Amino acid sequence: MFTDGSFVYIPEGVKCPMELSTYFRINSENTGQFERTLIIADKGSYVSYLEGCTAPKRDDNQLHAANVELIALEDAEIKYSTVQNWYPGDEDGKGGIYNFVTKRGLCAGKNSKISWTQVETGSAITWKYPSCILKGDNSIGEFYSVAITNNFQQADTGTKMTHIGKNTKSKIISKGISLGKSQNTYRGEVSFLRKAEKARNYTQCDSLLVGNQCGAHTVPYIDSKNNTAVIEHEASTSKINEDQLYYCRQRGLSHEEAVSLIVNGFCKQVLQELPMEFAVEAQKLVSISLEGSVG
Amino acid sequence: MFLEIKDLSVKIENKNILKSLNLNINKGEVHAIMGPNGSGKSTLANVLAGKEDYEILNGKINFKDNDLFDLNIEERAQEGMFLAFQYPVEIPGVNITPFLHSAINSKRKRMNEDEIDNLSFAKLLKSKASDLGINIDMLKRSVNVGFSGGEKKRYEILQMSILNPDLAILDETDSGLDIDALKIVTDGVNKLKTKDNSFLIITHYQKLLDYIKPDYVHVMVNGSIVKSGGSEIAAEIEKEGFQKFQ
Amino acid sequence: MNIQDNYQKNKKNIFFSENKNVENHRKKLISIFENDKFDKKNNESLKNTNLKNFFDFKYKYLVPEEKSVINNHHDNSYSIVCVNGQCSSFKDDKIQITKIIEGDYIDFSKNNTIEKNDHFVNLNSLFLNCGFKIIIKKNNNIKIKISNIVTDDELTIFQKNNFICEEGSSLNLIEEYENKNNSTSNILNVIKLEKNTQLNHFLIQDNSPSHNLIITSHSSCKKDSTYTQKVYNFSEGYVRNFHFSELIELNSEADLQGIFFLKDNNTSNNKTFVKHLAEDCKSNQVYKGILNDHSKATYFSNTYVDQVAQKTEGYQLSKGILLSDNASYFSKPELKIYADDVKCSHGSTIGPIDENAIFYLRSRGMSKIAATKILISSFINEELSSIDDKQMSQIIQKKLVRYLSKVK
Repeated sequence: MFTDGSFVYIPEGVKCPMELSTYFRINSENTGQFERTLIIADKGSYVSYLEGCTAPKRDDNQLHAANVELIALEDAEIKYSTVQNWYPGDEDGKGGIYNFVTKRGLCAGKNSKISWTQVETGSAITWKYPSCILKGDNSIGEFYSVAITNNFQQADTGTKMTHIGKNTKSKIISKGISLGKSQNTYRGEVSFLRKAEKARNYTQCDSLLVGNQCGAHTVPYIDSKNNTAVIEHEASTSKINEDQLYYCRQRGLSHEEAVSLIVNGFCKQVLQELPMEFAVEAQKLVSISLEGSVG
Repeated sequence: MFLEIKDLSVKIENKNILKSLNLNINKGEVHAIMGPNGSGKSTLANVLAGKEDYEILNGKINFKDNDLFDLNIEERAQEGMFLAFQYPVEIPGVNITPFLHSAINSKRKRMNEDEIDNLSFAKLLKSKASDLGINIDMLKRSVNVGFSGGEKKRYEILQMSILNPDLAILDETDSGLDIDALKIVTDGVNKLKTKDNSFLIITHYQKLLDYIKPDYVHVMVNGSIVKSGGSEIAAEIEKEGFQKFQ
Repeated sequence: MNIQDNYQKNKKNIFFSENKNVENHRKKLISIFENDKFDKKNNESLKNTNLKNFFDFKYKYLVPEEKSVINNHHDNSYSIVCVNGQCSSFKDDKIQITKIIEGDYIDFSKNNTIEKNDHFVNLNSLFLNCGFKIIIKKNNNIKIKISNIVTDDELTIFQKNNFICEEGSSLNLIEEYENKNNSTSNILNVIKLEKNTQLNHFLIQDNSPSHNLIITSHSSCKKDSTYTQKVYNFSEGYVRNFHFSELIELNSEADLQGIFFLKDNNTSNNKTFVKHLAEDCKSNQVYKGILNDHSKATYFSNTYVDQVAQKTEGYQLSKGILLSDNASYFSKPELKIYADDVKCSHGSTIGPIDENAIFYLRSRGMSKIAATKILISSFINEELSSIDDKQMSQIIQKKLVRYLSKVK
């Protein structure tokens, strides 16, 4: 089914001076898109890669099934950011993209680092679990995610961090916001294999509920087979804080502005991981995704 | 009349908190309300600001020729009402600069004034902050997050000085402040005071009133104002407590 | 042996096998067994279990010779010795104890909180061979202590108990499981709390390596009732603690807590599941485990909040300490939330004993082992200090000391 794709190779020691940016779009009706991306960062290199996705409104569902693979060799770092705004379908859940994406990264060399950042606001259904295999000693995996679902959207997203090497570290920050009749799930797996001496993981997943017909779910799998490794996991689910809304409105902000501000604040930890221009865009996207749902 | 509260009765969760309360405030006046814990002082502040948890059983409030109950929380704020909270809430991830910038512009919009641009606002914020002895670093943090009690109160006064309200309600702003912080906060309030704006100061102790001189002092007990007069009442309370008013 | 053959062969010894409705239900259970792939990875009831041990077993049951005893003290307390899952009938103005009846079986078979593929619960229903029912009568406040004894090697106990707290009653229930023989107990407790009741349930588990204990409970709470469960697992044999709670009416509360101490090649599987089905309810799920040697543990926790269950407060905590290179711990703290006005959170940590803390204590002159032991004790201190019952507190302390003496 492979349709097209891109391959990026960063030679040894090269720090890519600009953000590599791609833009995905699905135009034609009733189609699927099956692209592949492969990024290899050779020893000591660095690259930051961005992808943005949009699709025009269609009544039928469309399929996006991409495959992204990252390989970081010794001392290399790959930063991969996604702002996904595929058409989510209309207010009655009609149309929209099915976004089923495989994303995986291999920290093959010592001291390598892979960082996934994603802002998921679009698609009717999203299934996506960018993962890191931390094979090289001292390698680092990160996953920062904001997923906003509205109307009848479903997002089921998270990550998989597999610690194989010594002193490997991973960090997971996931923020889910559910509105309307949507369902928003964090699903993640952190595992420490036998030899992952002194490995560390920190996970934080927070969910915010706006409206009483939506759902927020957290399904983490945590598996440790090494007694020097430390896993810390925290999660919380709550509705938007009334006292915060009151405070903002007392200062003169409208209800909608207040919600947008508070939600953006809630996502800040993730949004600040995006490259500058993207961060501003993403903030606006967050505000737009909330529009009309606040009453 | 600038603010007129007439026969106000309010309940929350089946409990009557305010009972036929009357209070008039004119332009340029400073009023203090004193009362024991649980007398309904903070409820009055929140009802004025428009908090939605309360049930208004009876009464009317007029503010600058508006029926206050016709306005929602933000409209009241935009009309020039400011509540300095007793316990300002933390809002993680929200920086003060965009927050106050949108706040001041919503007010200007309602007043048909031009919006203030980023640069001028940043300048204004900086200068007001330095007036209040607020470190510039504090402006980079999220609203109220990780602030000490004293810092939060100072931050409230900073917001007040930026929004420049017609009626400022200070809800127990003195609580949790040491004497130095109290001085800074009250100096800030005194600087803001003009003949065109009014203050409603809610406090438990007389100490605050040593620094902000009220024109009128009211004693509130059990949901109503039981005595009104000049600053001599504050001294009376200091000496004998609230017992004699109950 | 095939499960169906096993059942057919022993049918005459199994409860209610002459009842048509029960038989119909069991037919369904058998077909579940036959059609299931026994997927250890995705079936929470099977993870880390030795399938051969539990599903290919030799059925054996003995009716206890000696009738079990019930002592009625003057301080409203009762001691029950439950032998091979049976205890004698008893009745006074405060409680009533009888054998379990068909109606209780049918009643439970309609429950849908426990997963249909929980094979241990299904085994329990299929091979049911004992069990009792205790009713605490209205407005009484009593204490019950139950010692669960299995008399012989090779016995397979499949026991269902019902506990019913009638309106306004309050029960302090201590259950002890201390078996030294080579046998398996598969126990299911069905607990019903009527309005305005309180049940404090303690389970002390301390079996020898050859005894397997599979214990499952399902509690349901009506208005203003509180179910508190504390599990202390010191067993050297396999234990499975799966506990389910449903908050079905306003202002009810479920608190499911457990601590486990594992060593050698032992395994323990744990699960707590609270379903919020009404407004203003609270739940708490806290499990802590210490794992030494080659031991393994799993802990699944789950908070489900129905759309109507506004103002829910739900809390989950899972903590594991791995003392050895070869121990492993798996946890899955799950939240499924369909109401918006909720406060739910969970925390989970797995790791070694804090090295900084060990360093600190050693710098004060303490040996490494002493420091480790002190830190283990402090890790579970909160759970131990909350035991009001002095006698029980001493029992638990003793078991803890025994466990710590093996820590090197």
